Order: sequence, then structure tokens, then C-alpha cells
Amino acid sequence: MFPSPEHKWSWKLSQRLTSDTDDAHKAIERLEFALHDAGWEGRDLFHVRMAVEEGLVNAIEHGNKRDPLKHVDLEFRVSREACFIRITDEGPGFCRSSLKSCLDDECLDKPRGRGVWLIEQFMSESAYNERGNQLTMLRKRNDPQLAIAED
Amino acid sequence: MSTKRRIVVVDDGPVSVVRFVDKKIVDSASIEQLGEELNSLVLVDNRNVLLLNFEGVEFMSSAALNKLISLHSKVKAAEGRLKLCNLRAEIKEVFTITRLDRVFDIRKTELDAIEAFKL
Repeated sequence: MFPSPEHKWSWKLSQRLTSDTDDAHKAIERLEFALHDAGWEGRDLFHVRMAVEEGLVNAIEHGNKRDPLKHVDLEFRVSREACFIRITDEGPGFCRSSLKSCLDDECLDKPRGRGVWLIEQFMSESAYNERGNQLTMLRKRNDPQLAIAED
Repeated sequence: MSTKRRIVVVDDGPVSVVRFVDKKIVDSASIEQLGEELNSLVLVDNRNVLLLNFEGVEFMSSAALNKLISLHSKVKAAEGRLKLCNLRAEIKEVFTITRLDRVFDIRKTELDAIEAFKL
């Protein structure tokens, strides 16, 4: 996964959270400030914001089932060129391929599966570990591959 | 009329124009409350011609989208009409990417939407 191990990050945060979305939102706010300081704005900033929100809420609600004894480990790294995010929960993991597409006509009006889809569309790269309890994502700033969706 | 904390409702003729109190719709308790308030517009207040005006909304998560989908089905069941307007470009892109722009009638401005209700 880009960037190389030598990539110079201007800001890093490693934090262990309880299964509480309030703590997660405080961490996301810190990430937003760091991205802003590194020159991120508009669509780039929004995409990272969305992916990390969905990833953390999935980890807390679906991974840890809001169990107060379980934790979520997060790792954020920011530079002018890229943003790296890793989210690990203590749940049993989930199988990406078992998730039904939220784009199927019969699922369009069902409230499921959109978070994972948005992560995949808004990030340059994203992958789960084998167990399915760790999400690693990378977003390049001004990534030309992430063209604006047509109306 | 049920009390609303997460939304403000103003009538424009037969159309109930709904605006959102929060700039960022992410907090899970607020999203639950928002969902209840939106549904109560149809189920308690018997309003079924609704325009959701997203002016000022900077961010919303998929959990908030789910509440809009729930409202959509309530309005449909009541044989009402629902439109959305004033979505900032990034939020509009979320609707496009998830194909929810096929489920919701999205208009640029409040005026466009009010005119479209007259058709």
C-alpha cells in the first residue's frame, strides 16, 4: 500500500478507544484539524472524514457490539500528500464478500451496507485483514482515480 | 404538534419545509432523535408533502442516510411526496455514489423544489 515506509508524515496519532462513539468523534475531530493544517480541504477532506466515520462506527457497533470492555485501536498518519488510517476492533471480524451490494435494486431502500461501499469509493486504497477485524485505508490527496461521480 | 429539537419546520403553502439544526449529523443519539422527529412529521403531525432543505449541513454519515430512507418509506406509505434540496456538492456525491439519487427527488434550490411540487 502506498506510500513507502520512508514517507514523511507531518502528524501521527495512535490511540486506544473504548467502544464509545463520543470518544471516536473526538479523535476524528483531531484528525480533521491535522488534515486542515496539512492543507487538505473540500472533497479530499470530506472523503477522509466520511471513510473514518464509517470505519469507526462499524468497528464500535458491528465489530465490538458496543461492548464497554472491548476496545478499538486506531492509527492516523497525515502528510500534505496522503492520509493513512488503520482501525482495529476486538470483534470476530466480518467477511467483505458476504455483504450484499447496497446498489442492487432490491437493496436501494434498505438501510444496510452503505458505509463499507462509501469507504471503498472515497479512499484510494482500503483492505481488511484476514480475520476481518482490521481496516487499513489510504487516501492520496487530489487522487485522479477518484473522479467525481456523474449526475 | 410534536416537539422538534433536531429540525425546524416551516410551512410554505401545502409544503412543509424542514431544515436541520446540526451542521454535522454524526452523533448517534442525535441521529436517533432526528429519525424519530422526521418520522413523526408523517405519523404524528400528518404532514406528507415534505421538502428537506440541507442548507448549512456540512456532513452526514450513512446512519443519517438510513433515517432519510426510513422517512421516504413512511411518506410513500402515506401517499405523500418528499423532495430534497440545497445539498452541498460532497453530500450530493454521496447520494450519487450510493445510487440514492434514484430513490430521492433532489432539487438544486428550495424554489426549484417548491415549483416542482406544483407539477
